[in-house]
Amino acid sequence: MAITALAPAISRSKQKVIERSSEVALRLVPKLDIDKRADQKVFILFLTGIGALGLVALLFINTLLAQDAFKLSKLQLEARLLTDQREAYIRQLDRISSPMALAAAATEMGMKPSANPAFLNLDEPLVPTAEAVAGGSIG
Amino acid sequence: MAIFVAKVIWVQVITANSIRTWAVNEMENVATLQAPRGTITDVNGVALAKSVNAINIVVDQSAISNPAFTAKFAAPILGMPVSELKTLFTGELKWKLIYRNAKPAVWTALKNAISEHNSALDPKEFDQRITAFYPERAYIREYPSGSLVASLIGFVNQEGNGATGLESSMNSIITGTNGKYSYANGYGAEIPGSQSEIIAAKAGTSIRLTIDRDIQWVASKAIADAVKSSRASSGTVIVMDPKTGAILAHATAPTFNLNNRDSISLAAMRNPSVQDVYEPGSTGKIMTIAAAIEENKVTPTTVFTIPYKIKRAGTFFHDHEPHAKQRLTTSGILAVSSNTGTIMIGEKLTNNQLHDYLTKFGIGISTGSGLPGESRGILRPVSDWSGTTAPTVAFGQGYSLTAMQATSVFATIANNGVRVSPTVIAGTNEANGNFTPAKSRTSERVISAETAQKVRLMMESVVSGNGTAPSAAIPGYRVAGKTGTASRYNDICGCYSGYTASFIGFAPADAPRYVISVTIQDPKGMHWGGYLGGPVFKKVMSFVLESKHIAPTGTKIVPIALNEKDLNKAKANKPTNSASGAL
Repeated sequence: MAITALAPAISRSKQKVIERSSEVALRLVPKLDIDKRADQKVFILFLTGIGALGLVALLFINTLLAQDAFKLSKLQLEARLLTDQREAYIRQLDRISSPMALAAAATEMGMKPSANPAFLNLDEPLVPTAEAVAGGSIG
Repeated sequence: MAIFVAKVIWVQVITANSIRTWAVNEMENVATLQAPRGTITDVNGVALAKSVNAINIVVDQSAISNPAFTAKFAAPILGMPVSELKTLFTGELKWKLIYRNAKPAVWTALKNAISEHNSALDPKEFDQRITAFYPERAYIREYPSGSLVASLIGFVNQEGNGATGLESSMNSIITGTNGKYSYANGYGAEIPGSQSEIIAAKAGTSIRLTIDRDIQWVASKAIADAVKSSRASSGTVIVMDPKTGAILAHATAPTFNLNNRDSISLAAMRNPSVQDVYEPGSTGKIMTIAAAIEENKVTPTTVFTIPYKIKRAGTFFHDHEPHAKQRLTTSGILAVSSNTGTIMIGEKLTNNQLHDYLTKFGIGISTGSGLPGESRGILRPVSDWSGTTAPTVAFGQGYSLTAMQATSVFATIANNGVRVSPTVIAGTNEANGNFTPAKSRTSERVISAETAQKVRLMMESVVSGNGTAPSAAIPGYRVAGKTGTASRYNDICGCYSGYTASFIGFAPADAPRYVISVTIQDPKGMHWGGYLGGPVFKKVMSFVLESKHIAPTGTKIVPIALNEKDLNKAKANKPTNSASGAL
């Protein structure tokens, strides 16, 4: 059977599609009555809720960041105080370990600076006599 | 509506940039991060000058409702008069500096006292709270060793820049680079976490000196005691390594405390070892004798007939003590420090030769130490010499030098005839800890090693029983040196008045490790170089030898004949050997 024999059926189908499409297109636009308008309140509430949640979240994140910033600031202050303390201890140590302080402490203990370099003679007994030390030679 | 739109356009478009800038300036501030200066340490890393934290205490005058009460509260803590504080607290300024460079402990004490005071207040007494004090961090310079190396280190001025000494001459190296950061400002307080764009402060480069603090202390104490006991006007001790030119000690008396400079005169802040010049006297004879030996004009045992006084160009020159004519060797002339004998030795050289050798020994030229304010001393050109100049110069007068130059002369003899320029800088330490040693010093041969050895042997007789400085001898060690007792030129009267007493020596004499010079200006009473300088030399050199663990060389010396009689005796006993030398 030749395809051209179907031509009338095709024409009729086209006509039906056109009519149905119009009906569908017409159906897409509902007939509005005044008392049947869409409800906006829910949508507004929804958006407000999202906004509020967002703000709360932002506030929460900022608070967390700020907390760390305060902690950082506190630790930095602590570090500065510890540095000050450390310097004070070093200053004390410098004073105690200075040659002047050591000489004064030695003098207080009854020690005297030697007049001459003293020598140890390993061939002789190592325990010196007081006279030998005073004379500047040992052994 | 049209006005509204116009306003919006005006704010958002036309003036947007200026409004944005205005807002930023209201909110944001830029603060400087102060950089500390580099530390100056001794050769072992002990700090001699360092930057430490300090706090500038500032107040907001507008926040002080009761200046009198606040002044009474703060005065005992700050150690300031109540009246002065009351004046500082009165006014409407938002920022007023009341205490500069306070120790952190002072700020802590003030802060704690304020906190205690405020906590103890009743809620109804809210207006009595003290809130107006703020700290600003800064660095100040501290000198842990006080007066120990004062004239060498120097100090910084109010602005934190070097004013004298090494703090000044090395200022560009020691000064750090300040950093900065910006922060958001909320009611005058820094908002935590708002700092941004931080450029870190870079600390200055640290300097390591060749100075040894312990040797410096021994030298400082010894010279201070000598200046005090002799009622001298000043004194210096320099300890030098002749091979490297490194200065281990550089002590002066009187000195001053670098941490307390309020009542210090400018004169006291000088560095006399390089800035003060004087005529060396008999220590200069070393150069004349070394030159004559180098030119083969004399040997250590050449015999001279030495009168008490000698006439040259119409002027009489004489020895210290009257004596009959003596037959002394060159060594003997040096041992007894005969002026007439040295003139006769000097006459073996031409004026040009004598001048050239003095110049080669460093007289009249800079030592190259790099120390600020260094003087070259004075040595007139030969063309200006009169008939009496050469004899005067021969025995150490008629020219002037610094203590550093004098030390360098003897270091040349100790270093086998090679003069090395002195230095106090061992190297630099970057902020990252890398140490860069200083460049090697320049050196120049002045006399041969053989001549230097002969002169060293001759100088050992100076500290013998026959010499002028037996007080400088150190039992167990071979010591060589020379005394000096020079007439001192007085600027005020334009005449010679007073003396310069000195002793310069080294040990061990046959293998010198360190040279020490002692110079005492204008002592009263006994003024001889051997009497005053010898004991100081012995005290310092003994400590240096012990602390550097330098053992005696163990060699024995056969004394050089000092006079013709001893020379003939020595020749008779050992006909095949020379009459001097060390085993």
